[in-house]
Order: sequence, then structure tokens, then C-alpha cells
Amino acid sequence: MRLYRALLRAYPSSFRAEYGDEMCAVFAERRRDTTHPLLVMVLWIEAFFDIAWNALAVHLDILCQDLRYAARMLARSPGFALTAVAVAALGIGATTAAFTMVDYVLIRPLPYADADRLVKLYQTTPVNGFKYWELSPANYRDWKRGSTSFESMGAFTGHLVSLTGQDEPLSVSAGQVTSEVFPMLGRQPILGRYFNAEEDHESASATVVLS
Amino acid sequence: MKDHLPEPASLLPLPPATFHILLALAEEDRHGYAIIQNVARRTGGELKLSAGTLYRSLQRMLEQGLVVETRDRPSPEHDDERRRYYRITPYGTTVARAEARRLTQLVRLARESGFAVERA
Repeated sequence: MRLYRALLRAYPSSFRAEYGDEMCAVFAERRRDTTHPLLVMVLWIEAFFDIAWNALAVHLDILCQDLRYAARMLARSPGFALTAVAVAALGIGATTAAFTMVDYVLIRPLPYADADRLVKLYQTTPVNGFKYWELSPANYRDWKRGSTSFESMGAFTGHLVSLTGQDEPLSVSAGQVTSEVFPMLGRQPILGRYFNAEEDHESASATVVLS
Repeated sequence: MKDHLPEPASLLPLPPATFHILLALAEEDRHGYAIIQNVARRTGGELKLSAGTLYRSLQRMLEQGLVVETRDRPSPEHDDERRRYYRITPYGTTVARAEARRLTQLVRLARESGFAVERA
């Protein structure tokens, strides 16, 4: 009977408190009237599915009752109902927005290979109080030459440029990157290739990657 | 139990388990297991109510006012204190009669449509 009583825990506690003992008594009587081992096994299987199905149904009954009660209460005072709906909508909206931001900024990994090994380096100038200051090209070269902690180091900077020559000029986001950046991110171009170290100096012909 | 009972017709059609429980209680007050046995006997073993179906139905029937729990108990030598006895209410009787009428009309319609119903 201990097993049957344990199965009854699938029911809501209020239903169990009201009918649990009686259901146990009924099962005990059925168990007493069943003597053949095969029929006893069938009785237990029936009891398992009976409890699974009816416990779910009782939970749904209670949920429907609660929803009907809530609907009746809200219908009695439409002003309160509208306020409650508005507050709930605001709360859900704010929570969704906050989670979306946290998800993108803190939870999701960056869409690059070995994203957990990527770091962004800044220069600090304590005299001015600037903690995150972008490097000058000269400092970047010095750091790259002196660094022994990083497998690879590259530099990039972003800005807006104007695209002219076809109809109206277009403002497009662009960036200048050194040849180490793309291999470091582990992304392959869909067409063609990225530029290489030989092309990464001022006298080389200009190359561009479209994305 | 509700203070104002709804029209019997609003509860129709009754779920089969509910109707059978009302039929079982029509003769006399019964406890849960006796209801199960009575239903099984009357249906020739075709319908065996499970404990889950029985008590879920009884809970709803108590709320609807179709049955009540009675304090009248058999003599101590025939009693088990864990048992609870249920009794059909006058409203439950009215609803059961309305359901029987509905089923009778349904059978009559079936006969008229050429679906002959053989008597058992």
C-alpha cells in the first residue's frame, strides 16, 4: 500500500487529503479480491495509468476552476481588470527586454570559433581617468612585438564611409582590420578569400571584404 | 454544494461514469468500493470504474449537488471507519431522470432511423 500511497502524490494535495485514505481503502479491497499473480500485476498497471490520467485531469479541473474564478472577479471590476492587465503587460515586456539584452550580452557565446579565448585589449591612461582607450597603431605594434601571452593579436577599427558611383551615395558601415583578425575569429568567407600578411602593409594594393 | 442549483438540463449529457454512479446510489447509500462493485455487476462486468475515475466524479457530483456524503453508517460489525457513504439527492434523482429521458429519446430516434435496438 505504501507504493499506492506514493503514487497518489501525483494528485493535488487538497484532493489527496479529501480522498486519499478512501482510495487506498478501495485499492486494498480490490487487491484483497485479486489473488492470481497475473491479475495482481494487471491491477497495479491499471492503478498506475488510472492515477496518471486522473491526477492530470484533477489538476486541470482545479486550474479551470481558478481561471473561472479569476475571470468572474475581474469581470466584476473592469477598471481593476484593465489595470491588472496593463501592469502584467508592462512587467512581461520589461522582463522580456531585460532578458533579451542579458541573453545577447552575457549568456550567448560570441559567434566565433574559440569565443572563450577571445579578449579585447584597451589602453588605460590613469592620468586622464580613461580606462578604455583604443590603441594607437604604434602602440599596437609595440604590444604585438612584446607579447608572449597571446597566440595571435590583431587590430581593428570601425567607421562609416560613403559609397558613391552608383545612383545616390550610400552611407555604409566599414572597418579597417589587420590580416590576423579574420583567421583569429575562425570564420571563412562564402566567396573568395581574406587578405593575407603580404597585403597587410601600406604599399600593398587596397583589398576589401564585403559582408 | 451550490446554493442555487442549475437547471437539470444544463448538466446533460451526463458523463457515463456520473450516470452509473447515480444509478448505483438510486437503490441505497453506498461507499466507494460498493459503487464500483454495483456498477460492474449491473453492466455485467463491462464497466469497471477505477478509483481515480470514481473519486474524481464524486468530487464533481458533490459540488454539483447530485450527491451528498451521509453520516448514516451501518452497524459497527459491518463498518470500516475509512469508508465514506454517499447518498443521491432529490436534485440528483431529477438529473438522472432527465438523462434517462434523453437516452430514451435517443434510442427512439435510432429506432426510427432504422437502427434496430435488440433487447437484452
